Amino acid sequence: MLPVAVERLTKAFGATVALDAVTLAFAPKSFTALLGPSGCGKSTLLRLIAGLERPSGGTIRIGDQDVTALAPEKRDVGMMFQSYALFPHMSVAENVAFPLKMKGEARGKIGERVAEALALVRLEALAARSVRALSGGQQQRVALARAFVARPGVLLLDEPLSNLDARLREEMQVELIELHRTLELTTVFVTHDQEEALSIADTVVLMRAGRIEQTGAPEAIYAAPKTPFAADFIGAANLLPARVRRAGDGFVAEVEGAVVPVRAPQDGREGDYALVLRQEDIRITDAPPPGFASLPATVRTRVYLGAGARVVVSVGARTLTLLTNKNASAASGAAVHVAWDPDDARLLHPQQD
Amino acid sequence: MRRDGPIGGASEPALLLTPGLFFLIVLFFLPVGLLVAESFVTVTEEGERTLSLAHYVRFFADDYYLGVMWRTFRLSLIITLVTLVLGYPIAYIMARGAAWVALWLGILVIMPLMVSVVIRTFGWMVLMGRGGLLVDVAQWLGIGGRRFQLMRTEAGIVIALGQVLLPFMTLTLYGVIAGVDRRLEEASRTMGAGFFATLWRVTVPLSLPGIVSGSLLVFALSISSFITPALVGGVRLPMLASSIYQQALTTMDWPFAAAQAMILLVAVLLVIVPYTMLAKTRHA
Amino acid sequence: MVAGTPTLAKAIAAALVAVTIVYMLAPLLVVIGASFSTSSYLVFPPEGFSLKWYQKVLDTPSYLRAGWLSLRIAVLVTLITVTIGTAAAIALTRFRFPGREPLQALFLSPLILPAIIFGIGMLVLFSRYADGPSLMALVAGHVVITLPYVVRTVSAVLVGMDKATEEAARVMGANRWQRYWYVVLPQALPGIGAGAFFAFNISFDDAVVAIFLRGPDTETLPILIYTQIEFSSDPSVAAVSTLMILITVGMIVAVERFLGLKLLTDRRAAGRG
Ligand SMILES: Nc1ncnc2c1ncn2[C@@H]1O[C@H](COP(=O)(O)OP(=O)(O)O)[C@@H](O)[C@H]1O
Ligand SMILES: [Mg+2]
Repeated sequence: MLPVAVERLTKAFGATVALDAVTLAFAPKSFTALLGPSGCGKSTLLRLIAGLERPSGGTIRIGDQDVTALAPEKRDVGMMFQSYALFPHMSVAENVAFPLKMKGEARGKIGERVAEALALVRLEALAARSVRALSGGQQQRVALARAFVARPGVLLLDEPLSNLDARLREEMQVELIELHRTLELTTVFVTHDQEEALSIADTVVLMRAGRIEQTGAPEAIYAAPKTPFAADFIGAANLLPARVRRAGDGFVAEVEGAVVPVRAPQDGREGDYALVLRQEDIRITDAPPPGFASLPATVRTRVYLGAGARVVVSVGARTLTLLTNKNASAASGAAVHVAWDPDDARLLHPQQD
Repeated sequence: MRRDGPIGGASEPALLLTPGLFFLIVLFFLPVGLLVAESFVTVTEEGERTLSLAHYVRFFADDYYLGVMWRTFRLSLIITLVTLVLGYPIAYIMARGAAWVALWLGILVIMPLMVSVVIRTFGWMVLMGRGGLLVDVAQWLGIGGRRFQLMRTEAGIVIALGQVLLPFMTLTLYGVIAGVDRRLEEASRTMGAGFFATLWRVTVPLSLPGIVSGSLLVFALSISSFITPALVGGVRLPMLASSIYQQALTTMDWPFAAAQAMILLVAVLLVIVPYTMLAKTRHA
Repeated sequence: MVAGTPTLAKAIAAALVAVTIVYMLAPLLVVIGASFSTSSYLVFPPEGFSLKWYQKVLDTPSYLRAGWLSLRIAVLVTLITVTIGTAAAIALTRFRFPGREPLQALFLSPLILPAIIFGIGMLVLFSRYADGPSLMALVAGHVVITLPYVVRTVSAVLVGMDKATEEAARVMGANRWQRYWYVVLPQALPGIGAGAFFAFNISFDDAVVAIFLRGPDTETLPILIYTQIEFSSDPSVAAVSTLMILITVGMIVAVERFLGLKLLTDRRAAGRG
């Protein structure tokens, strides 16, 4: 349960800059999700912390030690690989015992710790089994047990759940949370699934093209994305180009040929913005409540979701996706109005991709 | 693939390669290099060693040696054809038949390959010598006269060496035919082509790279074969390898043996280089 | 075969398979059969049945000496080749360095050279620069011709190995030697086993290199058999050949049992004759 800090950490593979001067701190016992689209440098960051890649620049500290030049086998790190990287020639117990054996622990103690770790991932019964004879979910839990059994200062998990089917994945998310609560290890966890990041971690680090886009608690980052990219990636929000100008005491925006009320932009300046609307904040209505912004729209598709429905509508040349309750009538092709509370809409500066 | 982490020097592969490189350089390239040099050496009357092409000139000017070369290439070509004709159907059956058929045919093809060539040739000598079963059968079929035998004949060399080299042809063809998309054959059948028409017009053309590869491999192995031609053909029907052996160990004329070895090597390389390139494109 | 294979094709297939089986097995069956004959000359089918030629093999010192020599050479060659071949395969597959691909080709190059040319080259080398052919020369020669097989079989297995297992071991605290011992070598074991099989088998069977390096103390079993059959002898040579076939079959069965035959039927693993 050591703190980890990286400073101006950079990694280039030839001309590709996989990680670009990233500075980050992971508090002891924290549970951080590294989130971002594939290829944004999440694995590279994890591998740099583990020592499996040599940084092109910057420093890495684990605890109060600068480990930048330290070999991986000398860092106090546990890591779970996306491919699991189980030793195919060993049994479940032998796999889990490996880090303890490398540490030179006494045989009796190894047995104890292995049993304890296998109990935590509920695999006691399979201890003697060859790892080749396990299902994907079981292999995943062996890999997890092997990563934490030696109680490393930092636990690194690279897309630990991405090879599992949806149900098993939800189950494992709960188990990961409980495991973290029990072991209190500083944990860094890579995922490209925003829902997974938001539901497990206490801190989310959103990455984009080798840089950090935004860092914060899940609620904060969800409620207040700082960039259109963050809004889109984290909330699957709708982005509409908007030209904002003053009107009387407040501001209005031209959106798809219509004029809607908006709250003041943060810096209070007129200009081109991205208007960010969350799916659940938009409603379909014939009579927008007073003060609401509203635009004419045409329903294109409606996807039944059980508890509600996801509706795709056209607004001018754009499409919006919104969530409605199951009663909302929205027949395909119907002309409707979409409306939202201007308090729920955010204006962000547009970004180049 | 990822590079090693922060630590992991370049000295590690160098260290691992050193013993192997020692063997290859000192005990492979050095003797072969010596042989190349030897083939250009002539000892003058004063006992001086000078460079010359005399041994090559001697080889190509002598009808006897040209005859040896001609026999080597001619028989090797026949052996290549024989193994192709026998090997293709077997490879096809291995590739398209049931799994157990493939397994057992595979064992059948591999097993003899693992037995010493000396022993396999020995078996043929018993069968093909005077009073041998194969000779009896041939005479019963009306082939050959009373003194007929297959030992010390070119036919005998073809039969014995064909058996020795058939596995190489079969395995090469098997690899390629197994890779031919079966659906193409099925498509051909649905378009009205019969079994044999499909075999001839779809499977065989698609497995052409295997046919070429297998033929090149068998031809190269055949022209450099020593044990079987030497034992079955004897001294009167030498192929190139037996001739080299004669010069090296009976006449003790190493430079001339070396020159013949170089001629053989050039012939083998001319065949093996395209073979290797073909194999590379196939694996790419 | 595709459904609807005509009866004619099936009949042809069956006939071809039968002919091939006979053709492939004939020389082996003849040798085995002839070893049991009561006659004092080589004949097939055998006349009567007796084990006397096996008794004669056991009573003939030259057979025993040659057999023991071949066995010792093959074991020594296997140990040396497997060690240096595995090391080379590890370097050629697990590391990236300039010149790696040419080196891979270099390590396979003895496959291309006809054994006869290699044999005379070794003869020239050891006659010019040493005291003539010797046991060590023969062992060295066999190491060279078997090296490509080990490099190939071990490389094939290592290429298929998940490289992350080594990284995982590293993160878990395994140093270089521990990674080799606990992670790389155990996973390479099937390739090492197949390579050892090829090395032993090729060394044990070789007559071409051995005939050039023949000397009073390098008379291996295949060389002895070669000389015997060249001047046709009694069925004891068939008996000793049968024993060699038996050893080969035993090894194939062992490989099948422990590694699976796929390693041997792999077209890339089979090399030359
Ligand atoms: N060993 C490598 N060699 C070359 N490029 C690499 C290597 N590893 C990663 N990259 C590149 O670095 C970038 C980030 O990769 P990675 O950290 O694996 O992304 P993520 O895990 O977020 O999907 C990608 O563009 C990837 O192609
Ligand atoms: Mg990744």
